[in-house]
Amino acid sequence: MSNLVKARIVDHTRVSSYYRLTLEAPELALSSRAGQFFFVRCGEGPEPLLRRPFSLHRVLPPSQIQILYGVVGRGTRELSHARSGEWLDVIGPLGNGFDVVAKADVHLVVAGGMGVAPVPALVEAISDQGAATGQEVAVIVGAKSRDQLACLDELGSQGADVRCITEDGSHGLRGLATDVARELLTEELAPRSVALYAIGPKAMLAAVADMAKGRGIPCQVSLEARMACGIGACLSCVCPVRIIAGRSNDTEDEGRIVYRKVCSDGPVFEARSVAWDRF
Amino acid sequence: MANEPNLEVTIGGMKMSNPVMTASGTFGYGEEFAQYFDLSKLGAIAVKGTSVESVDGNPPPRIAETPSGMLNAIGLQNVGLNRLIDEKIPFLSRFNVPIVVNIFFRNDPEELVQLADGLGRTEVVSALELNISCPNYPKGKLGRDLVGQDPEATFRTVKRLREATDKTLIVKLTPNVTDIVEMALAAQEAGADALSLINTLVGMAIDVRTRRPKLANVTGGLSGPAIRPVAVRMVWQVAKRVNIPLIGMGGICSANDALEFIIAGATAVAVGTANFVNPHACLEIIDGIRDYLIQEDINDVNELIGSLDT
Repeated sequence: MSNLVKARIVDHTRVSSYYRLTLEAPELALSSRAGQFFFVRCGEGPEPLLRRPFSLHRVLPPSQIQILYGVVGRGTRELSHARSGEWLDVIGPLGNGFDVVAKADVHLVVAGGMGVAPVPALVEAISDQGAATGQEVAVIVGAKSRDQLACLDELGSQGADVRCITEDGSHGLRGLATDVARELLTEELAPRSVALYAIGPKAMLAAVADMAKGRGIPCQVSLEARMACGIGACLSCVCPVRIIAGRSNDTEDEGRIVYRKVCSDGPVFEARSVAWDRF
Repeated sequence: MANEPNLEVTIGGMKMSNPVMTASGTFGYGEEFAQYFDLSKLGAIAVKGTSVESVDGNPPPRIAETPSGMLNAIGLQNVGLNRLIDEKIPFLSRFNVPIVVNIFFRNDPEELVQLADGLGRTEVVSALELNISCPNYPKGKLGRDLVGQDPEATFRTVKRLREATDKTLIVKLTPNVTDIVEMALAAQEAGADALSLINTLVGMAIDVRTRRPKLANVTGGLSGPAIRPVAVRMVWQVAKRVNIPLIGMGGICSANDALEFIIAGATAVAVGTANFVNPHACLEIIDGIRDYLIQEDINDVNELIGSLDT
């Protein structure tokens, strides 16, 4: 169940090269899960026409939610001009969200670039479930450069083991998030049971999916797509998915590729179900 | 206090409690929107274009935003006739609103007869809207462009469907023609009860950095406020020449937009792209039309149809 609400902006601040928006929205704060998203109107009138999707960054109980976003185009540029005290037209929460794996020694989250946005909510969800049983959380944050890193302290204070890496070496190691993931999975984490979660550019997701497949590790990925309605009606945001044995209903055959909606069937998918070669 | 104005209109044999319906392809099968408002308030619901067999649709990316509009190339993805009847219609039949099923054929016009037969047994379906105008139409055996771009093919196709159904028959026209009046007259002559206009305008957009098209299908259909003036003009042109009711559509976002179409000659209007932006769009437009009639002291929306003063 999602809501169409007017949410008041209580804070809008810059965080490194991103913006963090805090909204007073009790209905959304009560019902939002990590990995779900909000569909926000970024301007009045027909420009820009369509809403923009933003993942849940964090819930601030009891009544606030946060969104972390970067300016990438018309919609986000317009949104960046919104001020505290103004109201935003928001639909949410939408989509399925992450399903925290019940049994794992270590939950490894791989975030690339803007993909760090939903990670605090995810780490919180993992901690809520796994803290009592001693499950650990490790987060790899990768970015092009240091000014595109965010949330490192926040994630650390949530109890996650945070590793960061930049493509230009301006902060942490030099390289890609997937380099760190590969090394961790091959060495430190090799003897332990791991659950993977990945959020970021498609190439990164495909690489993490490949590592998970090779090692038989459960892996969830959060996909992005251009979307018009956000609620499953327009069929714009589809991604190719392979029907997995045991999950198909009788009209669909195992192995067949079908289109699934990122907005309402996702945005979180099991990595092994995504047809990466067709995507 | 002013009297409540009459909003009821009639399209063929379909009685609508108000002139506002949803545009096919923008409202799914209604399920997604039912959580945001009471669907029984709509004048009618047009569901996603349906073919005999299911269609997977085009590869992504399927949409691109453009100035005051959007391009889409969904590719007529749909669940097919049987699943529409078994899984989708039962939900929609709860709302006591006329249901319009948009239909199209892929290879052989005889598929329309199968669709008419299947839907003919479904009493809650009030009307069939024949789609001969989607720019993302799968290229069929006919090996030519859209039926809706050829008046003779339009006549033949509408006539075949007319012989196969007693339901209200609406024909949806494409704006991608030199003279839409010619197509409208052909559809009328073949027995159409009403016409829907306009479908999307063919367009494309390019990412100059990658030099690739923004849609995997390269071209797509343009919708949204950007096309509204074109749609209003075509409704006005056609209304002067045919004597069957028109359903006007193309970028309607507000009551004011809807009223333009009605004054130009549309008996009903369909809201499309605006549903994506504002799930309450149809409701706000119905309320706005009512307010306008009260303000202008008009007792019946039918008095407004084609009332353009030139």
